[in-house]
Amino acid sequence: MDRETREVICILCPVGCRITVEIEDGEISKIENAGCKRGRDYAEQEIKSPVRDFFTTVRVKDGKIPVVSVRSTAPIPKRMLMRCASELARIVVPAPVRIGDVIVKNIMNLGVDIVATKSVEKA
Amino acid sequence: MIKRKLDIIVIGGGAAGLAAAIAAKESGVNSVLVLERNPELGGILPQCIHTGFGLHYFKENLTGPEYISRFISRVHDLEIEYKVETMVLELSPRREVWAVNQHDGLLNLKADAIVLAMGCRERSRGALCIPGMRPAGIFTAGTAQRLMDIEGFLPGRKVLILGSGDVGLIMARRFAMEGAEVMGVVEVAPYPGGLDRNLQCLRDFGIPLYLRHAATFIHGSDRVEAVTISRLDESGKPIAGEEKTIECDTLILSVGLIPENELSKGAGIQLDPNTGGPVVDENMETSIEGVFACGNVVHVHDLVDHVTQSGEAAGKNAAKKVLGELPPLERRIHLRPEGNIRYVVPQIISGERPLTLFSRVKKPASNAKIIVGEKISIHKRIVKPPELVTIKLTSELLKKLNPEKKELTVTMEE
Repeated sequence: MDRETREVICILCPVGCRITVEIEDGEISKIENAGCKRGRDYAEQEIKSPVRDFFTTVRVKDGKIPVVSVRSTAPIPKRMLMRCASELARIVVPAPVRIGDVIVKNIMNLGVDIVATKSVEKA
Repeated sequence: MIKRKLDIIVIGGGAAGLAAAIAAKESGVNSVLVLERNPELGGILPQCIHTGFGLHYFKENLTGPEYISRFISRVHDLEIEYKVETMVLELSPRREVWAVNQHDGLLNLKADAIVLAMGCRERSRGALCIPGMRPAGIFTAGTAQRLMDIEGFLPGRKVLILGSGDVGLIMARRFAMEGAEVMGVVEVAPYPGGLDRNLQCLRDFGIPLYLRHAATFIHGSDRVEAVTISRLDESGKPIAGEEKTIECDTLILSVGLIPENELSKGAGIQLDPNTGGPVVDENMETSIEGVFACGNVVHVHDLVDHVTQSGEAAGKNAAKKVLGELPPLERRIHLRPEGNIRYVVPQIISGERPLTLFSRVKKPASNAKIIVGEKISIHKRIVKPPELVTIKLTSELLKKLNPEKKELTVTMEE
């Protein structure tokens, strides 16, 4: 039997519980030291399929500033962070950009869009 | 020289200043002017492209630019006047402001109320006295953030971060996401300086955290080549033989923020040595009548949501002052921090109205009791230096105060 213990620091509130999760043969067998139900759920998600907010910048052509900040409309799987970042590193958008503009629709087929988080005027 | 008389002048167009200006205008004051030294409004937020802003204030998870854009839009909607690229040179105790910009030249402004919202600035290498060479490649975290997220440069490819404050942790993740190699985060304290949730930035990218370590030498002639770090003993002195030299081309400093109070000092406003900011009463009024202060110039906050609220309070009260609706406090009770309590804001309360005090502790503690005066005791499950502690004084609790007292201590029992 394959057994592993992992620690998850809960980020949901300032207490920051250090939750231990025991995994047996790829399945969660025990969650300990979680101060509340939300923390337990968070730890479970962190082990099963962790997700993260994704944000970076994208190059802008002829803008007042050379990059525009962007984010994903919903969190994406953690393992996809770097791949999405590389994908966006290849893109250049023309100015002007408006806050909320969709920069990439359905990035890497994850079902989320990449949108601008600020406006960049034409230079 | 341009001479003008206004109702309210707000110095600083960041989160605090914009909230103050909006609240003042909404309270019915006509002429409100915001003075901002940067080319755009928004303060630090346009470069904070990560999420986590607005969770309290808007109940939404926004990025910095999204958060502040809502306030900038409101400033435009309310037709609040502002001047960017305008440097305030001096504030007089008679609420006279000297400022300068390229368009107007010298400005001599006077107002019935002033709101100080200058924010804070980063501590730099000089303040730390790190021995070593003076090569290129040493940046404060905020400068690196601006270079990356507004100006579009990657300031380094192999990066060491000194200080585990929130900006340092966030920049560690940001560098990693941009493909730079992050060699580690070095922290002198035995615990991280930032919020726990930001430690995820390191864990996600396998970035080592060196607690109880200091940078003891910077190597490199033209560009940073390496940084030596040393383990510290209990008293904070480097232990001989416990050094480690880390190869890197960039050193990022995230070693604390200092409220920016040169103007306040110049005007003779009383400062609190524990916060580095003006002493304020529960109306956010400073020791000079009609001069209010809010946000990070008062004390360094960890959440912008609280900065906004402090700005709104200062703006509202400045408006009341102008409209003649702000009576002096019935009583002025000074709060004095003791023991594990580093500071308390506001420093002066009346004891007549419910309010929330903001406080920071020196050391982490659990199952602690915050004691205000002798009789008020508030339980806190956990307190940590990086997290502001809120102390809610309800009308019920305030009844316990001795009305004769001019000074109350705020302390902690474990």
